[in-house]
Amino acid sequence: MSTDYGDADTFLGVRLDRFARLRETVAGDYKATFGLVTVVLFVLAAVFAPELAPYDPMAQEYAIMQAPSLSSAHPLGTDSFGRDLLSRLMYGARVSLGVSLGAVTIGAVVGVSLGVVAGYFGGWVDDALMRFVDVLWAFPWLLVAIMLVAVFGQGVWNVVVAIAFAYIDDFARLARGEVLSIREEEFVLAAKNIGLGDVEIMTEEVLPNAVAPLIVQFTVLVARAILAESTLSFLGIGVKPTTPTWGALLGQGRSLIGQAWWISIIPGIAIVITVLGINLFGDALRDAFDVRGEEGAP
Amino acid sequence: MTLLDVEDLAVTFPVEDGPDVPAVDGVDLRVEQGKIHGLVGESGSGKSVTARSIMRLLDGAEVSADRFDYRGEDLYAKSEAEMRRIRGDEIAMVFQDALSALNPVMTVGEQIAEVVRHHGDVDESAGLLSELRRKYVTGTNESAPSWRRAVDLLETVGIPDPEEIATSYPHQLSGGQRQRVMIASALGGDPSLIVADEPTTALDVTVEAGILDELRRLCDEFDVAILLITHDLGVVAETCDHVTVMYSGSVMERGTTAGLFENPAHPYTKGLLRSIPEGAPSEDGPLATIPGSAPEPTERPAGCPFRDRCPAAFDACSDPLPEHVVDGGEGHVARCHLYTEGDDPGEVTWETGATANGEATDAADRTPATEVTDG
Repeated sequence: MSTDYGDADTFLGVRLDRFARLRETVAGDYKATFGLVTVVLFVLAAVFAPELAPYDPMAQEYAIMQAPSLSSAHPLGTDSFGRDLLSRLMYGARVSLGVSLGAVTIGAVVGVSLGVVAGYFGGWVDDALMRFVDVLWAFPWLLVAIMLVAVFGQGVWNVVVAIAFAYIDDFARLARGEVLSIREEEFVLAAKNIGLGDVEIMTEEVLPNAVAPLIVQFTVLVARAILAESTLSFLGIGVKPTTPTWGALLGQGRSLIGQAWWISIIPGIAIVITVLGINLFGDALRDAFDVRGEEGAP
Repeated sequence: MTLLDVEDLAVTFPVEDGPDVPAVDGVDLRVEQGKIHGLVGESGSGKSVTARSIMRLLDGAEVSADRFDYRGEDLYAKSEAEMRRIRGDEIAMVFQDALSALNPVMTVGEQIAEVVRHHGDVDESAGLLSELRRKYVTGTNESAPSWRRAVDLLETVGIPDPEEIATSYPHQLSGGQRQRVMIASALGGDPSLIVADEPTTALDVTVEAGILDELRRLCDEFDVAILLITHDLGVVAETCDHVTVMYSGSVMERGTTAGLFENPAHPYTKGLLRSIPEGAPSEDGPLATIPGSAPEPTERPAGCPFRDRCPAAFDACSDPLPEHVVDGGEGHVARCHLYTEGDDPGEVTWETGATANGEATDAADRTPATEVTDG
């Protein structure tokens, strides 16, 4: 579909001037800038790992096993099989970031849908949906992960589904709570008065008002999902054990922490920085979406 | 032409573990095309409930009426889908507090354009997916017909620099601007009837005057009928062609504004008119009031709900409200037992307590049962 937006710059049909607020918010806040830069760097490193990584992440070099960081041709050192840690970290980012973003996105879509419908209609719809969410919540997600792995074998999608499963209830509860208060606002009544239907009111009027806290929730959970993926890999029920992921790297290094601390500490630092970056950027996103925070006439 | 014709409307809110609340009982309302009809009454008189029953958006209320016709068709016989078309397209609503009635996270232009796409005559998709795409991603194209129309409407309602205002959020505008935006958004679907629920109550008097002028002008220019709900008789006198006076869920009196203000018939109407402050407060002593307060809907006396506060009340007042055409102009109806058909309302005056001048009135001659004095 081609749309003419006059003078406004567009990218893939999206008007860039709509992001002016976000740009200003990020530029005016060094924490947000740091967050965005970090996230972008890690994502780029993940996406272009095959081009950027100095070594094959699987190539073993027995001559330089457990080489310390900054000590050789391997900037971050090597692991116990002599594999380049930087390369493994970059490839690991693909799985760790991909899995966590994917899982949280699925959890958000399902959870927000459930929560908005439950909150908007209330009554027995609310009861039924939220009891369903309670069941999801009561189910230990680790058991779900183990069950999925037992039935379907190890694989990225099983990890994604298991983690998504764990976050549905967080999104559902938050969305429901927001909608419960928003649906009482007069603009919802006004929307009914211009003849909008329930689906339109939920998606066009109510949900945009709940976006800010949901974004914060999203970024918090992406951070937690990275940890969850690491947990699963650490336990050996994540993706295939040979695949480098941050959690797996960390797990493999733990028995060598006394002799070669960097093998587990460096993936740990990567996790911490990413989680921090996503959270900081999330705060900026929330501020940019909260148009009410801005005062004064234009 | 009669646009809206309501007869014997009753709205009851069922209450769990308690008596049902009869918010409105026996209301007749006739709104003419291209006229402003004032619905006036104090808080709790049921005027807003009456207005909202027109939109069929009273959650949990039991609505019954002998007749509830819009353009000769029964609104309450329509399907929900038909009602959704009528809302906004035929009948639009203007709320008292525009700040809370406008979506805080959308620009006002976006909100008006949305109404235009849903109801107006523009060749643009208002399907769910394209609306979602606009709302979350692209925004309405500023050269799109719906956006152009939104800007035009803002200009119509007297907003200076409409292009700029269209891209503002509601909280960035002043109260008067917001109310004008509400009116523009109500006009977005080209409605024939606008229900304005206390549109100027939240505004100061100078802004109020501007908004009322605007409504009057829209009514004359676009032949839109307006049902103006207010508790301010001054607003009614300035703006309305017809007026219906409500008290505690019932209509007390109705007629043309000129007829009703010149020849008020019902003791309640007289009491209200007498209570309008004029000039300096000290000149005529304390401000006249109607003693007592309106009864709770569940504790209304049988017959006339105003009976307990009425200085002219007598035995017949416990009978069901009558419907008397009185001599105060065309269609002037007073629902009061003091009259028989065709009486001249000028014969009865509100004279008690502080302002009584001792003259015997017709009301007194009709043997009022109680003597009410001002407190």
